[in-house]
Amino acid sequence: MRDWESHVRPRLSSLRLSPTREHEIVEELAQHLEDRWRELVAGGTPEDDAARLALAEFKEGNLLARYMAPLQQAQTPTPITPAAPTGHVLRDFWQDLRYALRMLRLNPAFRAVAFLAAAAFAVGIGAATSIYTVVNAVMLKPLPYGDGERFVAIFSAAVNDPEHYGSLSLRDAQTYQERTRVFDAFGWFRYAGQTLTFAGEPHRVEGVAVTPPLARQLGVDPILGQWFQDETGIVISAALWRRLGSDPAIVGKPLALDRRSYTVTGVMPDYFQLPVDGILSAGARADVWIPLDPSGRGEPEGGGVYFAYARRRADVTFAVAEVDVKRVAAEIAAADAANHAAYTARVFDLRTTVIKDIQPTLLLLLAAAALLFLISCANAAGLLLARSVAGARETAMRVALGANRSRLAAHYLAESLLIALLGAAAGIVMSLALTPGAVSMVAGYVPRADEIAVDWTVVSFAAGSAILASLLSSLAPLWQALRTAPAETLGRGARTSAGARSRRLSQGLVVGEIALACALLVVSATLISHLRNLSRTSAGLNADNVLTFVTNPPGLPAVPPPTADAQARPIPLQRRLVESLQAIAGVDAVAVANQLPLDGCCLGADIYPEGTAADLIAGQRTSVMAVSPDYFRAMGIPMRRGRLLNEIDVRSDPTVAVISESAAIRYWGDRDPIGTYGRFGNPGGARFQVVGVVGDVRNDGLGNPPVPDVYVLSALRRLETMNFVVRSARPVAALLPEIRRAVQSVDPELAIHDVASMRDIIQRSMTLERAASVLTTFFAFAALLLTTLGVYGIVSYFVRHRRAEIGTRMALGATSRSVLSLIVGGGVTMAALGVMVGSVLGLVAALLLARVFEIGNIAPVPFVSAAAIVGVVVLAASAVPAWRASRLSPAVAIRD
Amino acid sequence: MKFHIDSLYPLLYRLEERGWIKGTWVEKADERRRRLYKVTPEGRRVLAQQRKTGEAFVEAVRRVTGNEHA
Repeated sequence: MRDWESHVRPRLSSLRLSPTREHEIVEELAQHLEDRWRELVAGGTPEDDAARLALAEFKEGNLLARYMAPLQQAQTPTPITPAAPTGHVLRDFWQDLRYALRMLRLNPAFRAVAFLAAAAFAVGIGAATSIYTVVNAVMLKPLPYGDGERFVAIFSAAVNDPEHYGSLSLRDAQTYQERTRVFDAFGWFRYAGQTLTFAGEPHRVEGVAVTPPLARQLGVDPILGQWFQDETGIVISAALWRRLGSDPAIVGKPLALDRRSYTVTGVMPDYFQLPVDGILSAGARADVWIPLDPSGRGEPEGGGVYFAYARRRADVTFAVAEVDVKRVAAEIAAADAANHAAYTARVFDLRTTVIKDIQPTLLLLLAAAALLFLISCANAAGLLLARSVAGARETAMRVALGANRSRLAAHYLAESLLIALLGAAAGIVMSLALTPGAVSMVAGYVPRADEIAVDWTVVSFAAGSAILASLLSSLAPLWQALRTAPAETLGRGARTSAGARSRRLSQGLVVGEIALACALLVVSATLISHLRNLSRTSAGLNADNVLTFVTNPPGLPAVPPPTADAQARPIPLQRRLVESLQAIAGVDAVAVANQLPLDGCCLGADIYPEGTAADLIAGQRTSVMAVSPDYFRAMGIPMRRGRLLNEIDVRSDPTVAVISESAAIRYWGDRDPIGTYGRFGNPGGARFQVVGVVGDVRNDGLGNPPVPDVYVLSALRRLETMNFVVRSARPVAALLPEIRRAVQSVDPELAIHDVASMRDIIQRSMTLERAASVLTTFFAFAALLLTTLGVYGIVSYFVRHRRAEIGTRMALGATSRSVLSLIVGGGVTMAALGVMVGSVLGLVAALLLARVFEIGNIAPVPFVSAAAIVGVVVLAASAVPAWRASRLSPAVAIRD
Repeated sequence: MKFHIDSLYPLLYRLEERGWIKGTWVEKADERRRRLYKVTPEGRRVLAQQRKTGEAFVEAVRRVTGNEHA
């Protein structure tokens, strides 16, 4: 056949045909011309004339192209061969992405690297995302109130004690409302009511009495009905509504709270909280809200425990609001100095009150996740770098074809972005699985836990992390690629061009990984040893064989019922319950208390020893324990001096009190407190006489110094919550039913709840520390795993590249052992560098930790153990490829 | 009817893109492969349709011009 194709092909060149299609068309047209030519030759035309005639069918040079141009097959997109920039950054990048995707599909080597890198990203992004999911819900989202970000909480506080703050008295709350000028909503609430009776059934609930204007100004509408209109209205939570049977017609129905009747006026949505989670309500959500008269009508005399919420006007900043509240506090203190020694107010952004306790833990975990994220980036960078070294010829080809720096950058970025996005997707799935587990570990300690969910901010966070990860991890391969000299690389071949430069870079990455992993290990080991020290700390009591539970006497209603005998009844009730419990076989001691140590600290009052200047000690926190006489025996608190309380003390005047050692030291100093007097509340308040001193109890957490305790008899006052302490060697399962029977034999309407051994309570007090140490340890081991893979990868990679060298050494007489030590030695050098840098990082982190978590002193143990773990792991990871190298046959190695 | 290569093949390719004809490479022993085109069922349907409108057009022209040789 004559060469028709050279006539046809140029006519198609202006079209964007795919190479295959162009080839087909050329073949088809050439055939057509050949047939035509044969026809003419067969008809007697000379061959050259026939060829001219056949070609005359192309009437004009570009007619074929013009006819074909509108066809789809003539529009094939330009094939992807990323090299020179086209001038459109986005189009280039899109092309790079598609190229990377195609490589993923077609190139098994790249697929393997991509899979490993994506797994590393999944760990890093997944950990970061799951912590962020919690941070987002707990710390970042505004409170679910109308204009939630403008709400503040107002507490009383002492000028000389910046740590603590307390409730307001009714009068003070009213004064703040009258005199502040910066709020457009103001109200207060108190806890009220615990036993709800609906359709004849008693239910234990958490009730809150709230001033009606505040309830409405929170800006949340009931999902059924409306807020209360008068003093008999009651609004219930959606959770309680479901507990009561989800009756859609519940509005208008009667129910009783602590034996006082109300009519349901509304049901609040699930997300509604008053008070918000956090300082005021440790895990327990309010179930019912009743109106509280702002004028104070019907409220008990003398102080009271009220909490105020207020909303800043839109034009008032938080700082201005704070100044205004403190101004009013100063006026209050000036007007009533006797009751307001060292008095001031503390204003919190309401969201701060929610996150105050958990914020350090969350930030610690976020930081740990960030470290893990960095390690995963370094890990992926190492993998991509190894690949870029192996692909040096390709890079050299691109550079030779005109790829500039930005084009190369786009290429590496596209590859790592694709991988990071895959990793992020896996990470999101992982965090979906991880987050509920992590949250359940700290159940009850995470405020707003029911708002924790993956939403679009979480997904954008994961996507943002993916982009950051791809930027970080594409830097190393890019750096390597930019130093590629095309002529050299193409000339010498890829294998020799890997060079010392890229090796140093990879080693740097691995050293970085080791350092970060080491720092994480130091942090986790510090937390573990902190936790261990905590659990070894004596709580100051004997927690073995102590069971506790709570029961609530029928409470004080918001407005006392006309025939109130409530003040009189509970006192004999306490004693009847104690006696009934004591009668159970195998029970050694029973006591009741207004609060338990290590279970949220502390219900307190100021105390003033007689003969001491009031200003010096005013406002320092003291825990006032109202206990029955056997409390010390039941709890195993040792007596130091004087005597304990007894039943007869109920009648003594003034009241007798037992104080803890730290109270004796703080208030009496060197003097002997036994027999001296003090006063509660203010220098002119109720008088008491100290009769004994007992040992300190770690009531404010095992890691915190004890808050001074003052013990008075519980029979002297009404307990809103009766915490019973039962000491018995019998197993809980056998004891509990008898306890229930004993309680119900006294009053069938009394329900017992929050049953826990004292050991449980002590364990629970360490929940946040435990969660922090478990999660950081988890992160640290994930980091260690990534680092191990990184070390293994780099060592085996260089063993592969140094095969010829190793073979030569062995041929020249090197033993397996010296080869082994050569390669392991490299690993050890990296480990040593990494541990050094990591220890410094870890020291900084540990010092920060010590400040935030009040850890006494930094022990060397965490550093030593972290270094040892890292050392062993790095050794093991480099020993495997080293062992393989030592078994090389020199002849094979050199030949390859 | 006489087609030139630069109008015939674009026409074929267009018909093929529309799914009215389908080309296949046919190989025979000791011969170069050739491309054969067949009318698809869809192509047949379109052809019938266009033949009808074509006839209607011829008829219309005939009536206007009164000429049998339109």
